[in-house]
Amino acid sequence: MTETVLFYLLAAVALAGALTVVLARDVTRLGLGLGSVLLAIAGLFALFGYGFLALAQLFVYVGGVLVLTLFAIMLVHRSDSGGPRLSANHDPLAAIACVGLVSLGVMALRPVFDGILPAVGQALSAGGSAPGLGEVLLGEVLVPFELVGGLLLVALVTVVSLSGGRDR
Amino acid sequence: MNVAIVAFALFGIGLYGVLTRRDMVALLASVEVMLGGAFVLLVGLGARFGAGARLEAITLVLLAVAAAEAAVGLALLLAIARTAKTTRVDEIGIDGFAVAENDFAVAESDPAVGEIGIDDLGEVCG
Repeated sequence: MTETVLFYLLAAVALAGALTVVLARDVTRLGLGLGSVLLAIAGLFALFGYGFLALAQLFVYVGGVLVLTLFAIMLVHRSDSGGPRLSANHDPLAAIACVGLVSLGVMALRPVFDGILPAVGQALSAGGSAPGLGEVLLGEVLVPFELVGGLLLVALVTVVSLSGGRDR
Repeated sequence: MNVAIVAFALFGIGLYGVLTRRDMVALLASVEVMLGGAFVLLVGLGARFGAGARLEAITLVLLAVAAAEAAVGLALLLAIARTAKTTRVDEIGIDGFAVAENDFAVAESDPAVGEIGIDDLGEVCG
């Protein structure tokens, strides 16, 4: 019961944040909406029983990507006084296309989920917490895990060289 | 089912943002919302079938890839904003510089440009 209430609460926060990201005219509200989406997703991960994943989402996305986005907002939208206004070309055809895609996906996945929430805590019993994760990461997923380290290094160098490596 | 609805709704809302927004920061944020929907669906499916630690490891790897993508995207945004002096994608040309507002207006209002047809092409070129 508590899990169901929590799930609907987190889902409502995520969807409200997503709508804020898409519809907000103020760039600061867009940042706040993105933050609430990412926090709610981290909460959903924890609710499904993936505690370490929720922490990783919290650190990587809320602590890293959101702060980067806010820095980009501050660097790019700094000249306007009274808050920059974001515009959106609202298009009913785009809305119809999105609603159609969403209903198509939900219909396609209906037999898989057959009307119930994921069994909360099932992931823990299947070894989904940190000790099991460590074994998998250093065992069968070792190669992708190391490759991701290389990818992050390349991304780091790319970001530095793109955003200010030259003298200006 | 509920998880699928939430995940696809997040994806659809983000897609609508990508289709209608014109500011680069808003576009990147919308893409992040779409990615969030995909993650919710992946983890929800894993929890539904008790996938356990293997799914957690795969999602962790995907999370790192998505974070790298976001960082590179924001760096590109900063570089383009510095070159083009704007963050609206419909004001930036293919060369990365801002499109002058009256490029097309001049072509339409100049009678000499409008009146040259395909028959005059040889004349003009010659």
